[in-house]
Amino acid sequence: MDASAGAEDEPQDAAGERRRRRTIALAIGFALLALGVVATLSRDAKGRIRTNGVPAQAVVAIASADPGGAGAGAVRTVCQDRELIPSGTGAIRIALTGFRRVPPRLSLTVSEGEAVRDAGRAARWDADADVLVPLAHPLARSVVGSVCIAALAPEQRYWLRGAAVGAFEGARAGGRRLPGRVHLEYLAADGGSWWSSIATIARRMGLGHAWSGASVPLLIVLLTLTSIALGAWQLARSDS
Amino acid sequence: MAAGAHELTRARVAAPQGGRPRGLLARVPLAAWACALVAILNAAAWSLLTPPFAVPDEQSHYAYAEYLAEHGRPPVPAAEDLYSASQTVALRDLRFEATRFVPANVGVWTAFEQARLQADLRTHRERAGGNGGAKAVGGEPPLYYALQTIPYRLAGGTVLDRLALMRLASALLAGVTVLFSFLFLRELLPGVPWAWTVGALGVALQPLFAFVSGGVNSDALLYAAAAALLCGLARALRRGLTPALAVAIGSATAIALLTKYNALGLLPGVALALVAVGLRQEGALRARALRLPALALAVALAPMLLAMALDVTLWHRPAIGASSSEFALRADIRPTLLGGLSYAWQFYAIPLPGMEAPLGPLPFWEAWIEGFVGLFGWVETEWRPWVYQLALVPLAAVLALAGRALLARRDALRRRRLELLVYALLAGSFMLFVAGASYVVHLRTHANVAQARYLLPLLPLWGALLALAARGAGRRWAPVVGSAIVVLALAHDVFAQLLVVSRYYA
Repeated sequence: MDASAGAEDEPQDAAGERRRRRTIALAIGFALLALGVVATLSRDAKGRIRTNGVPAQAVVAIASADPGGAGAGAVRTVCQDRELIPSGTGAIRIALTGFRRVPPRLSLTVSEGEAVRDAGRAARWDADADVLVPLAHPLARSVVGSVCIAALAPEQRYWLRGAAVGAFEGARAGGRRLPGRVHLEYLAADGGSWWSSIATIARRMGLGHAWSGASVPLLIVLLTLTSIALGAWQLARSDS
Repeated sequence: MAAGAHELTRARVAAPQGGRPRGLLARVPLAAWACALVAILNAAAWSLLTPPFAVPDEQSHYAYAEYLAEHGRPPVPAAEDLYSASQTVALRDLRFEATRFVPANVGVWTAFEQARLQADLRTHRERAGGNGGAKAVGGEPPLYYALQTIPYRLAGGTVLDRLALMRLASALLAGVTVLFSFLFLRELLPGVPWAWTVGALGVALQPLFAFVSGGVNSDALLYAAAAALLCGLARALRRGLTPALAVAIGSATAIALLTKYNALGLLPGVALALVAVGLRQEGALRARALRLPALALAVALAPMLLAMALDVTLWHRPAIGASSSEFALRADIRPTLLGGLSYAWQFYAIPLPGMEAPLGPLPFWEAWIEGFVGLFGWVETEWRPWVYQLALVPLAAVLALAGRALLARRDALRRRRLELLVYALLAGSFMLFVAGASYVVHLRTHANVAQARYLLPLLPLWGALLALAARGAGRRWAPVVGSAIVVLALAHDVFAQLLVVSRYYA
């Protein structure tokens, strides 16, 4: 074999080897990335079915089991009428602030007319600093009714957040109308993974734009995947 | 070792070569276009993903462009923002005031709300009644908004139609930024084409960059102009300054100055760089050495001076819009040099013992680390704290590997110390300017306005760090580390998109 030919092949072999290592590294990297995305989407989703449309902008009420001791304007129970609670709701998240070092002691009831549809129990602090109250039973059908929040612990105070509303739309407390309503979120019973919520999320992604529909999330996915593919191709073919 | 030294030693002091802009563009490699296209596609995805007006100040930037298109002149700064009827209705139906700053609040989630939005947009079409984002951005220069009047007019339709096309126009600017970032890396690290791709893709996939460039925000054009400027300076430092290159550098600077007043922070660095190159080229301290730098600075400043003259004479605006905005100095605001330096130090570092700490104990963590890793929406969409802490690992690795690359070539580094000094001065003067502007705002409002996007004009330097980090892994491991860097950048971008999805749609 001609030695000079072997010497010329060596830089090409080295470049080829580097390209091969790059390709393998890319393949492994993408596999790990795909696994990471799948693992993330397999986690529990927030499972928000809907909100009551009241933004959480300001404190609208202070709730305490000892209203007299909690300061002027504090109330024991806050009720909001004409709440549309969707079917499948298994928990209600309340926008409020309180002392997070102790478990929140609140009760929540959902009633339709005079009938109590469900009572929430075992309130707990949510990761996003609100309170989550699971219902005893997920609602089998949508309910237009009242949601009442009652403070149970005299030593605790809860600042309920929401927004100011019109004169006759406010929440009720102690026989009077409050100037605002509380922000509420209605969560699905079992949360489920992000995979199970994908259709709902995709539908919402298609709203609020110049055009609506499934084409919006599909286009986002297509653009992202194309940019990934193009970047990987360019990197794999680069000269070392 | 000779090959490694070669890549950092090609700066020439003798006669300049090949500095004509046409020559520059004609030799743009396919890889640069590919990386630019990645940036455009990524920013376009973000433009669809992010709800309307969920990019910081987007409602004001849109209003400015609308005003310019409808009235044929920039707005006059005022004490409050007033929007046109069509934009007001859009903001109302999108629940703009409720959703910005508050992660728990959501926008349009139901078919009923979408139908109401579209019906209202069709009904309320008035566009000329606003004052062009007069308070938030009205004092800014008009170039970005003039460019945005093109998609504004082409789109027709409703506010959302126009916003969508204007966002795509911004996404194109992301491609320009990455194109010039690639060319900057090509000048900085000649002979290492693969590292240019690593650095350029790192820029293209930076999620904050894509998020801002996917919205209507003048920062998108500032990023592109700054990247072009860095590219020009790198070329001048390596190949020498020619008249054409001086005009190109001046033009890039002019575009930056006509885009946003923040670009004034680049001016000292640019001026010093040009003078340094001129003196080095001439080899002596002669007036002739300043001929081309003066040409570049004249090209840079002339359009801005013309715009200022138009502001005062024709448009009835302040000569420098910042003088009438929240960055203005008033009689009751008493900035001091010591106070400013203390503030600037804490803006980027931590308070030293004995310093007053107006920004809290660790301001740079939230503003710069968290901001760069990801704060989206109106800076309220964020990851859990452990994500930012975990991000320190790859960040530290990049810095360590880049440092290793520089140490391994310190002889070449010594020969190129002028170049390093130029980049350090450019970055330093810009960062100082941003801190100074924030200091004035802090004196007025006691608020900290630091946002990582304000430093993204320096993003090509981040690309350089990534390229160096790939090289710092050594010849054997460079391909693997470079691939890992790009995959990490991709992962960063993808998970940032998922974060925004979870914030607005879940």
